[in-house]
Amino acid sequence: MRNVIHLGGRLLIICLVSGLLLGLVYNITLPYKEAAEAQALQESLESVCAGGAFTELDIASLAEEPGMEDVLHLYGYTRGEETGHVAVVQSMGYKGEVPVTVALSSAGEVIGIAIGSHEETPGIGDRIETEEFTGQFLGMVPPVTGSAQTISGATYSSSAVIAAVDLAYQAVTLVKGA
Amino acid sequence: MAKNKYVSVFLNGIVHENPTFRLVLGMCPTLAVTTAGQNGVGMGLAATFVLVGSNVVISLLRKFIPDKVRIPAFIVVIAAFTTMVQLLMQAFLPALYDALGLFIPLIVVNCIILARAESFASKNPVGASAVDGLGMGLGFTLSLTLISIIRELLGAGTVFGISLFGESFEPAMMMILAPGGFITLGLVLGALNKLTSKS
Amino acid sequence: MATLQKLALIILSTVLVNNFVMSKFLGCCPFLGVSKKVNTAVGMGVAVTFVMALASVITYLVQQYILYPTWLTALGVQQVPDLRYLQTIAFILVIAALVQFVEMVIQKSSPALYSSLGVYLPLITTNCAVLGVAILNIQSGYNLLESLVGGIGGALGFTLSIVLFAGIRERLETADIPEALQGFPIALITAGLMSIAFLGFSGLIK
Repeated sequence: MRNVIHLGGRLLIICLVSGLLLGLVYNITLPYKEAAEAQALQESLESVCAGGAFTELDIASLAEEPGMEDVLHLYGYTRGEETGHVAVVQSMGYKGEVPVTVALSSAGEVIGIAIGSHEETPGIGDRIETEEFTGQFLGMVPPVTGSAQTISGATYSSSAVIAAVDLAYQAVTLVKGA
Repeated sequence: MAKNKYVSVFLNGIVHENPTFRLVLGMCPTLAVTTAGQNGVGMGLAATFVLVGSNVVISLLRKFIPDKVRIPAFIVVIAAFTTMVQLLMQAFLPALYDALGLFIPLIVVNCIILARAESFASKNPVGASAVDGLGMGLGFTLSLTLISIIRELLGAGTVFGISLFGESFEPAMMMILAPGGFITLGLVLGALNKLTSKS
Repeated sequence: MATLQKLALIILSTVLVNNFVMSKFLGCCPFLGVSKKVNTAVGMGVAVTFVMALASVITYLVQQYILYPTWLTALGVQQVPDLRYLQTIAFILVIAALVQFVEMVIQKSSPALYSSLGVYLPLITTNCAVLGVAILNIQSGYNLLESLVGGIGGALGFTLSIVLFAGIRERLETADIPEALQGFPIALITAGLMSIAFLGFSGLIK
């Protein structure tokens, strides 16, 4: 019995000290991590709507609507005289979720689109990041399923982006209507 | 004497007992993250950090850790350093963190680290253990980098992101997919065997 | 029946499409090290399946109820403690304990199996596939049943590839291989060719 206490006790001490040290490192790095995440978000917003001023909208009630769980963030933007919305959504691609940021003007036109970090097949699926593919959405008024072109050989990845654009449009419509 | 011993321990990890090519340990990350030069280097350095840290701590505690619970104790220390590297990467290198993904927490089950803790750090003083960790870690990093460069070059036409061949080069996509990892490692191992058996 | 569909998809995905060894690279060390004979490969596969199934369930519970106990909000607690950064340590300790436990159980119940698996059992702790599947289940947002199925599926995929590979390696023993390629190099190249074959499954799941 004494042996078990001796062994267990030493192990416990090592665990406790490790846990405390990690808690310390976690608290020290937390502000940096949050700053890095906020900056990444800001950069993706800027890339779809340069020079805009963004206000985050509360999507708690939106998230309960069917099909809206993949809407990650929703912002309203103003840029000079223009207003509109930016939606950050995710859509299931070939290997996992593909995050897409879509900026929609108040007339419902796509004015900017950016693809986030994904795990689609390098060289094939990641062609969704090219200007060739994303450029086609600019100026389109969703829904775009059926009119937007998929990439041959990368159907799942490109369909995911098309679905994402339509999801963004649905989310913005719901929010405008509410 | 001390200086010579440190140098020989250090070189041991890089050449004679190179974890990837001689000890054939740490296969999972070697095959999985070597799709691009910077990923190979990043993973290697992260593993080196954990290796040196855990070697030092385990060596310091070698009289304190009872023999019967030594494996769980080693695992706790290694897991602590792995989590530290995770947190630091999330805060300061988010792009690399995203690229390496699942394999950062998997550093804790990287056979190299547990093997060195068991066979070296628990039996040697702190200085030598630190140097052994450094040598093994850098040996690992070098082999990861070598394989990454080959795969990236043939599979995407770039080295560390710099395109070498221009527009007309149609890369062998397979190299950066799963089979490429196995085949590249196998061929490099075979080549090294050939080279070292001649000498 | 949507649940059953989802579970069937998880199994199909983990065994064939995203095979743990062939496409995710999880479990490579035992894959290369324990696959010389078909018998040991099968034994290792069975042990790993058992451990992975149990580990998936227990790590799910640890994540839900200890690391990020959102259930506390029902009790009126405002600020739920977020210990998810301790996931790596907690999970690997659970797995290490589980392997010890499985080792004891096998030793008591089937000494023959224990002596044939021998040194491979403790190695399951450092099998990236076990820790990998636990983390992946959480990342994919599976519930308890889905995590269990994900764990079993992953283990079945691992067993499938390790047994297939062992079969090939047994044949390779009698083949005439250049000296430099003997041992690991030819094994790795073979694994690469197997991996190409598995790529063929990738269109199966939308």
